[in-house]
Amino acid sequence: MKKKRILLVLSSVVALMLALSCNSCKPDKPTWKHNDNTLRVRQPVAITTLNPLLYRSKYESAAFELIYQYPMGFDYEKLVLVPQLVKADPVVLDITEGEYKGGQSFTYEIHSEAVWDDGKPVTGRDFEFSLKAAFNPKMGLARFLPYLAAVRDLEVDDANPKLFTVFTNNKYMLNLAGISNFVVLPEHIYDPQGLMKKFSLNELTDPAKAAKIADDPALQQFFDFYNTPKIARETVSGSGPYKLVEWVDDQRVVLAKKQNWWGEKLAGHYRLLQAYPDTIVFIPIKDVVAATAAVKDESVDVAPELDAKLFTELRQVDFVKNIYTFETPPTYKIYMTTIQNRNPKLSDKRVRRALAHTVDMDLVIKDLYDGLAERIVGPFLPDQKYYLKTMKPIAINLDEARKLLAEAGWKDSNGNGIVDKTIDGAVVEMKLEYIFPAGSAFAENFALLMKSNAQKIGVEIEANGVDSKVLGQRFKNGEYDLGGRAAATIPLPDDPKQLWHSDSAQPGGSNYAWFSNPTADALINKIQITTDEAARNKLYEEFQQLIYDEQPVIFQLTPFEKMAVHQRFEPVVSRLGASLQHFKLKK
Amino acid sequence: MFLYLLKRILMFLPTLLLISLLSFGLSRLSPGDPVAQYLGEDVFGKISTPQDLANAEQGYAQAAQTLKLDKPAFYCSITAQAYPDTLHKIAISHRRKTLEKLVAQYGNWPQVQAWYNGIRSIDLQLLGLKDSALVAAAIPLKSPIRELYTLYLDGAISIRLNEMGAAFGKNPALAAALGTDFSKLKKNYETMRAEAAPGKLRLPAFHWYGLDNQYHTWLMGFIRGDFGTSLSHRMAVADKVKPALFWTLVVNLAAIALAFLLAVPIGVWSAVKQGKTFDKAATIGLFMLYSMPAFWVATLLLVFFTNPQYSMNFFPAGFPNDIPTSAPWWRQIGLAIPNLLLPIVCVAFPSIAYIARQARGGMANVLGQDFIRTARAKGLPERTVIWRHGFRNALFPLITLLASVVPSAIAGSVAVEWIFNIPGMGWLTLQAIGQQDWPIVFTVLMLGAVLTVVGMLVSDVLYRWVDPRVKL
Repeated sequence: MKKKRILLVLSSVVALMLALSCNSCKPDKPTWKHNDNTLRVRQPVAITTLNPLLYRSKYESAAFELIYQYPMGFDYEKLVLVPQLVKADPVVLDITEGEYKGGQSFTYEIHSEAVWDDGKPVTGRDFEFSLKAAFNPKMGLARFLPYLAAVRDLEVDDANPKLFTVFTNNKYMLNLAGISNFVVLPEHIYDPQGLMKKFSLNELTDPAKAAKIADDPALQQFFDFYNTPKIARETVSGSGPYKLVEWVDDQRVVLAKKQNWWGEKLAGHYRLLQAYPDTIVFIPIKDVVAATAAVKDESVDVAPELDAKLFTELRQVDFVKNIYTFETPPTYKIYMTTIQNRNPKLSDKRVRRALAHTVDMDLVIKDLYDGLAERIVGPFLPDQKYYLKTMKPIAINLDEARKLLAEAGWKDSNGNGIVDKTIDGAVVEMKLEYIFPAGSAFAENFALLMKSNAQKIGVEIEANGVDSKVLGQRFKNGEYDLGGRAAATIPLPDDPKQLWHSDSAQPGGSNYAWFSNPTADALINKIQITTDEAARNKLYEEFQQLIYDEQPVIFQLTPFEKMAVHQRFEPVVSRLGASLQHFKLKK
Repeated sequence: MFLYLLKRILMFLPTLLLISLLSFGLSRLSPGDPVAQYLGEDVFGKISTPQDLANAEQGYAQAAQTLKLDKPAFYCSITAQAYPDTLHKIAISHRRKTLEKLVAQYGNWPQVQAWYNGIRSIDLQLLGLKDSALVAAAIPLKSPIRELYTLYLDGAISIRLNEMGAAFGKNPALAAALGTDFSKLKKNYETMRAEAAPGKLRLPAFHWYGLDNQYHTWLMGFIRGDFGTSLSHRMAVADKVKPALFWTLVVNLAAIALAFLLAVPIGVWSAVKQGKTFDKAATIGLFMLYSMPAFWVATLLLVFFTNPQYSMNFFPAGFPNDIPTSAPWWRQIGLAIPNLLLPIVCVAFPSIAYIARQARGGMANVLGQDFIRTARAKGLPERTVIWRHGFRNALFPLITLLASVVPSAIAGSVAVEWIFNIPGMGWLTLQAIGQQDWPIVFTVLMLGAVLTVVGMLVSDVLYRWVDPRVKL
């Protein structure tokens, strides 16, 4: 009797579950979970700050760029800088006399309608303050300074404080971009005590003058005030279309569109002053499976950077196809196997080329990346105007690899299967360590593939996954042989200095390959100050050919974005990612 | 009992202190550079002028000061006499480590210092070269001179010095500009080697730094509830831990309750029905449950039960992103319950198996004893015999278990929180480890240690409550 009762209960439960499940799978017409004009955006890491000077990642800049503005920002579709906070492109003049002879002046005029949240006008003084804050030596802002290194002074028009001119002391090719794409902060909010007013911009930008004021306590006081969680998370106030309304740590950051925002009046004429979603919510979901589940559950409307395999599977699921579109534009990322060029085993370019011949990159893209990537051969992306098309992809060719190793003096003299060579009087075997970020399936598979093929040419590779922070430090200090890494570029003419100049090859530096070549340095120096595009493109081509010949790293691929976007929005997605403020709710 | 508890607390204090020392020591040994982590960028990545280098060094020192890493590590140090007592003031970690290794090799700090200053001097001069021909000629010097910042082995240093010597030999103009400094550098190197003082490495030296040290600052802060500043978030660790602790407690306490509620009756009933079908089925079932990894079950549950793909869309995926923070805590829990059911099940199921086995073992032991036979002989109902007489006496192992689950409840279930995107302690700790945010990691570690001690005290009291014969 008891058993019958148990069976009855169990069968009722099963029946109920089936009934529920059938109820949830009537797919005639997709009914969306949300129909509001709120854009829920998955981010792989949680936002830790909205401070536009002290931020750490592109995920944070994606959020604060909706709150703060630049004189000019990037048009996501045309991939060029267009006016945002200013009326038009700046008037650029060469300076032919005076203190900044040989430099340039850039004159901008801020929209007369532009105001801060408290109604105070946005002026050139605010931009001057922002530059002063960046040049405050206590801030340690190495990130901006290469693009602003030539800035020397700024003048604000007395009659029209919205009109201002920035002066530089040279013609660095990215002067315009560096100045135009620098954030404008409200001085009265971020320096209420007027600590930075004590200094002129020139006192902070001129190295000789800066050295004299370096110990002024006001600089430290400003840094102490500005570098607080309050500024990073609470006092978040810009001239942009959105304001911070809620921040729940590690759960969500919510931005809401401002009522009667000044830019709305000009939105018809200025693309970057258009803003459509009422609310934008940033939700951190790190785990790739959880991110895919969130898409299936419609918990997010925009899910970038999905795992390649899971993304491909997701695109096959019928009900998901009815709800999401799948965006796969190319990106500005470059994947490479970086090589420690100072390692005596790897200092010969023939050895580096031999290693490049051990990988079938097309197969890698097909099998390890599900075809969602494009092969690259040089340091610049293939769609750059100056990309050197004559560079041939380095094909897998183990015979050629063996030949190059032999030419470089590497032979298996003791018959143990590993090539060796006498260096500085000692016999050295070609045993290398390949480090890659632990947890990256692609990087690991790539390393294992290379290991397997390298073994066939007598090179022993030990592949080790390393915590990403430790990996970064080992790269920076040159404590590695081979390593998988990614680099990012921006939609501007490339400045190769950070990755390829000998100045950047030092402990803690960004030239991880420790590549040092006088011709490369000279080309980079010329590229930096050549403003004529055609002439600069010639230099870029020479530089690419040199890198191609020297093979300081093995270029792998540039991955495509793998983003799911809810169909109720018209997405604006490009190489730069998703322009969230332009996502329009479909009628 | 009060005296006993007081005695126990006093005994626990040295344990906690030892754990604090261990965790602090681990933080010193852990790989990575907290200052670089705090700065979060390539400080030395964009250097073109001597001023750039000076700015980078200054920025680094500034960050070290903010993090109080410019102070000595401990109250005192016992080192070899060769080491200066101010080595901690060198903020840049790769430089400090190289200097430590050079001192360990040669034992003569003044010469080591002179060698190192010589490297920096040439580096600065290279950056300051104006003549374009000299700049080009000096390029082969840049890598070897900068490598010297991190090198300490004779062979490696000699190779770099020879490389630089060859570059000077090829270019007389370069030799004229920097040759004197290079000769001085080589002489410094020879002096450092020639005047090695290995004896000083064998003589101990005691340095007293007083209370103004990193450990004291950290420990006093911990006692006051100031757990320091998160390196990644640049905010108070306490502000990060508090909300994470809330959600971890919700999930884990619910899971513990669920585990005990299900496991105890299963275990007791298995003991009562020893050898019968129920006992055998329960044993097999529990072992199967116990052998399934939580992360695997969590992934399966997430994949199958949170979306319509498999027609079993019973639960929402992940953590809700619309819970109003202004709502009272019970309302927040109420709103999150649908999202938390699967994680609670995932955290609970391995415990169910374990607790049930413990309950079965304890109960089986008790059921065979004389007083149970006596109770049955007195004609008491079976339920009373089992639960009032048997179960009470089988509680000891369960109390021990309860004491040990408290700290694990605080530490959170890392895999489950990660997969279900629950912003709890496990998620926070894993994220902090990945970001080398040691102030958060060690706060969690210390909280775990404190709660383990509290759990032990609670279990002592419960033993006494369950069995008044237990003397405390």
